[in-house]
Amino acid sequence: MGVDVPFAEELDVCLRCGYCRSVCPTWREVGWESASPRGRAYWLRRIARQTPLDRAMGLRPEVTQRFFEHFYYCTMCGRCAEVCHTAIPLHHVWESCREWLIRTGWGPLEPHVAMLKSLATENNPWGHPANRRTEWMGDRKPAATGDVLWFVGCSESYTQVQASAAGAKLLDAAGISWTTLGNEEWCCGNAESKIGATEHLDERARHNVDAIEATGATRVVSGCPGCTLTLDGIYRDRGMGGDFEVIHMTQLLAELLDEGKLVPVKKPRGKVIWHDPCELGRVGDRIYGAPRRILDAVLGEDNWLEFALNRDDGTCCGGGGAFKGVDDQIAVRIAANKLEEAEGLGASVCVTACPTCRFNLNHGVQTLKRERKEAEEGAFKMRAMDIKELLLRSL
Amino acid sequence: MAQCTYTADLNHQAGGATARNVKGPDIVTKLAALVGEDRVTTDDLERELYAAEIANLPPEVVYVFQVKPDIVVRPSCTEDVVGTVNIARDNRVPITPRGAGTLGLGGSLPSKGGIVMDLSSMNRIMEVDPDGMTATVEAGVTWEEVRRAARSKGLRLGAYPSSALSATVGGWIGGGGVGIGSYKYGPAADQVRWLEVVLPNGHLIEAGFRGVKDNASGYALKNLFVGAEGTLGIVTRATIRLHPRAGDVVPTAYAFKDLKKAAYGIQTLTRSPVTPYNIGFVDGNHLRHLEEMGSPVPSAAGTVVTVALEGHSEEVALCNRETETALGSAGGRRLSEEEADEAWLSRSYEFRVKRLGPGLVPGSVFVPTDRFPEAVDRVYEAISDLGMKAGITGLVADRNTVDLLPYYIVDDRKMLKGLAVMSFMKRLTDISLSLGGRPVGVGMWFAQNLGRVHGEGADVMRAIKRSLDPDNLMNPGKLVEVGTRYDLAVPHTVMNAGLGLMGVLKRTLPPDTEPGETAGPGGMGWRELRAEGDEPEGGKDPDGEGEEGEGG
Repeated sequence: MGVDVPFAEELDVCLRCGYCRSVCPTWREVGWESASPRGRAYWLRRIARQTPLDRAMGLRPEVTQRFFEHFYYCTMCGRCAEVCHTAIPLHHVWESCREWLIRTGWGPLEPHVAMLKSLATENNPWGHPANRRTEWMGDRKPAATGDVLWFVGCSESYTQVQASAAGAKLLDAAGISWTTLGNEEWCCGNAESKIGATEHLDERARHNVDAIEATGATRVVSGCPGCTLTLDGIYRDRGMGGDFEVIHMTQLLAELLDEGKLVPVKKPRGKVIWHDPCELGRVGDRIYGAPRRILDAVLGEDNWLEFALNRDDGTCCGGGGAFKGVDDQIAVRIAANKLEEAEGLGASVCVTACPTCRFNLNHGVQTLKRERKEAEEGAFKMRAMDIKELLLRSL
Repeated sequence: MAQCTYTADLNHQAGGATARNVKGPDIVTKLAALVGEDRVTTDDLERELYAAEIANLPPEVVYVFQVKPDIVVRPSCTEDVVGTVNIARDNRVPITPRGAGTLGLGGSLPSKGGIVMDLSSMNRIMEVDPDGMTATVEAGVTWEEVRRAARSKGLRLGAYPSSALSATVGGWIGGGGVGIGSYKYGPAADQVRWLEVVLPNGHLIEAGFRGVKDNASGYALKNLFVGAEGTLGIVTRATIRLHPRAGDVVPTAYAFKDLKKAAYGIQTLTRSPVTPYNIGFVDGNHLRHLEEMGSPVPSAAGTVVTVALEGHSEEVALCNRETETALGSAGGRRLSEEEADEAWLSRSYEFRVKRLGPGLVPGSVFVPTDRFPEAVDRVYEAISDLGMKAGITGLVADRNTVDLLPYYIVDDRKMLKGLAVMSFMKRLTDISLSLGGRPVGVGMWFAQNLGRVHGEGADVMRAIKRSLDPDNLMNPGKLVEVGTRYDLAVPHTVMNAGLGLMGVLKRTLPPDTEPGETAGPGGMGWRELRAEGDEPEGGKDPDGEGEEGEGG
C-alpha cells in the first residue's frame, strides 16, 4: 500500500524524541521541522506506511518540493545517528533516500547538476580541467612507484593546494617515496554518493581501483577524509574494494613522528584548536587519536585546545554533504558559529585535517572578518589551516 | 528586561467560540510582517509534521481532534510571542505553544487547529551568572544546553528531564514533573527561579524573582505556570538555579531478584538520612528486552537499581555506604563499576527497546513510596491481563514519591493493536489513584481525569483558566477540558468508558509477548549519552593509536 522507501523498517523504529533535531547543525539555522532529521524520518515513514485511514482522511503522504529541497539541508555530519535514541543508522538512511529521490525523478537539485556535469567530463566536481589536476605539484615529479600511493583528491588538487603542498614537503622531509595517479586520478565519487546520483559510481570505483592496483601500491594515503571513506568503506560496501590498505594522512604522519622521521623543532605561533572532521571521525573510521598525537608532538600536550564537543560529539563545520552548493549562506553560518566558539575559548588557529572543512572554515573566517569590520566590532583574529600546514611550520 | 505591564482584566467578555480552519491570508500576512516571512508557514507538509509528537497516535485520533495546525509560527524573541498572541486574540484563533514535543500526551498538538507556536528557535542562553549561581535562558534552549553552560562555569544543573538532549526549558516547565536529579534537587518547579510569561491577553509578566526564592506571602505565581501545559500563557524566558559542582556524578548499581524486592530496598533507602542524586530502576522485563536486542545486561539480574551519588567527597562516601546497607539488606547485589556506568549512561536511552515493537507506548504515574511494592504487583497484573509485552522503568522523585514509567511494546503497524494502547494508560491511572498516587501528565489524552485527580480543585483550576484566558485561545482542549474537533463535549465518563472498551478489545487479541516477533534488525549498538558532566576524560581511541592528547 505504501511506497518502497529505503530503510522503512528502520524508520518504523523512530521514537521522534528529537535528540537528532537538537544536534542538527542545519536545523538550528533553518528551524523548520522539515529540515530536521526527525521531520524527514517521520515523513518518509508516513510515505512508506500509508494507511487506509490516510485515504479516508484525504491524505496521500508524498514527497513534495519542500520536502525534497529540505532533504538536502543536511551536511551528512552523522551526529543525528550518533545520538539516535533507537540507534537508527540515519546517515545511511539519508544516503539511500537521496539515491531514491534521484531515482524516482525528484533530482538532482540545480546546484548539483553542474557538479555532476563536471564530474562526468572532468572527473572533479569543481569544473576544473581534468588535465590540470597535477598543477599543484609544480615542477615536482613523483616517482612511478613508491612506499605509498597518495590519492590527493579533487579539493587538495585544485582548491586547497596549500594543504597538499605542505603534505608533499612533509613526505619528502621524512624520506618517503610517494607517487600519485597523476591525471589518471578521478574523483573518488564521494560527491556523487552524497548527492545520491550514484549511476556512475561503480565505473569511477573500477577506474580508480584498477589504476591504483596497476602501480603495485599496497598502501594508499589521502589527506581527504571523504576520499579515504569512499576508497575504503563505500567501494567495499559496493563490492568494488581494491587489494590495498587505505589510511588517512594524519595516520601516516603520526607514524612518521613516532618513528622519528619527522622531528618538530619549533612551535608555530598562535593558540591552536582542533576541529574533528566528520568523515575522519564518527562517519568514517573514528580516527581521533592520530591528529591529536600530531598536535601533541608539534605543540606539546595540554598546549592546544579542544572544542567542548569533540570526537564522536564534535560539531560540523557546515561544509559537507554537498550542502554548500545548496545554501552557502547557511553552510558558512555554521562554520562561523564554530569559529566564534573557538574565539571564545581563546583560540586563534583552527586546525583540521579535511580540505572541505578547511575550505568552509576559511569561508567562515572571511565572513566573520567582514561582518566584524562592517559592524565596527573589532578584528576577528582567526586562521583555519590543515594539520599538514601546521606540522610543516614546526620543522 | 521587559516591563511588567500586566493588569488583570477580569471583566473581559467571556467568549468560548474559537476559530477553526484559519485559512484567511490576512492573519498570515500580519504574522509574516511581525515575525518575518521565513518564520511563518501554512505549507501542508510542515503542518503535517507539527501534527505529530513523540508518541504514535492511534490514527483514529484525527477524527476526534484537529491536531493539524493551520499555521505554524516560529518566534525569534519575546516580542514576536507577544505580537503573535495579540494577532491570534484579535482573530479568535487558538495558539498551541510547543517545545520539542517530547511529553507525548498531546499537549503540544492543537485540538482545534489554529496556530502552533514552535518556540525551539528561541534558543539563546542570555546569561550564566557564576556568582549568583543562575542561568537565564530563552524557552527553546534544551536542558542539555543549560547543563553544558553550567558545567562550563564549574556549576551543576540540579535536575533535568530524562529527555534533556531535546527537551526544551519551556517544555519541561509546561509539563511540570520530575527528572534525573529530582531526588536531590527537586522537580521542574524547583529548578526555576524566575519566569517571563506572555499571558493570553498579550501582557508580559514576570513571575518569581531572579535572585531570591519566591516562597513568601503571595500566591505562588511562578509555580502556576509550571505544569500548566501552556494553557495559561507562554513561557518565553526562565532563570534556572545552578549549584556547586564538586565533581562528576558517581553511579552505583545493584541487581535484585525482581522489582518487588528492589521496591523494598528503595523504601529502606528513602528512609535513610542520606540524599543520593538520583535513584532509577529497570525491571527484569526491560532487561530481557535489552538482551533480546543484543545489548549487554548484568547477568542473573531481575531488576537493576541505579543510585547516582553527587556532592562533596565525604557526602558521596557516606551516601555510598548507606545505599549499600539499605539495598543490601533487601537482597541487592552490588554490580561492577562498568555495569553501573552502563546503567547510568542509558538513563536517557531507556526507550531504545522500541526497536522490538516497532511501537512503544510509555506511561508515567506517581505512587507513594510506601505503596511501591503493591503498585508493582498491580502493574504486572495489568500487563498480564492485557496480554502486553511491557516493561517497567522509573525513578524515585522524592522520599515519598516513586515515578513509575511502565511502557508497552506494540506493533503499531497493526491497527487493532495500535487501537488498544490507550487502555494501558487508563489502567495505570486507575492503579495510581487507588494507591493514593496520580498520573503525571495530562495533555490532551487525559484531560478527562482532572476531576478524578484533583476533585473540586479541578473547578478552581478551571476558574483560574477562565480568568486568565476568557476566550479560551491558549492551548485549548488540554488539561482543564477535553476539546474535540467539533466542539463536541465529551463527558469524562464517556471518554473513560471508551478507553476501558479499548482494553476489553485488547484482551480479545492474542498476547503480544512472543519474543522477537516483529523485531527489526537488532544488535546495533545504541550510542551512549555523554550527558551529565561525565565526558570521558581520555575519550575513546577507536583507531587504537595510543595516548590521547587533551586540550588545555
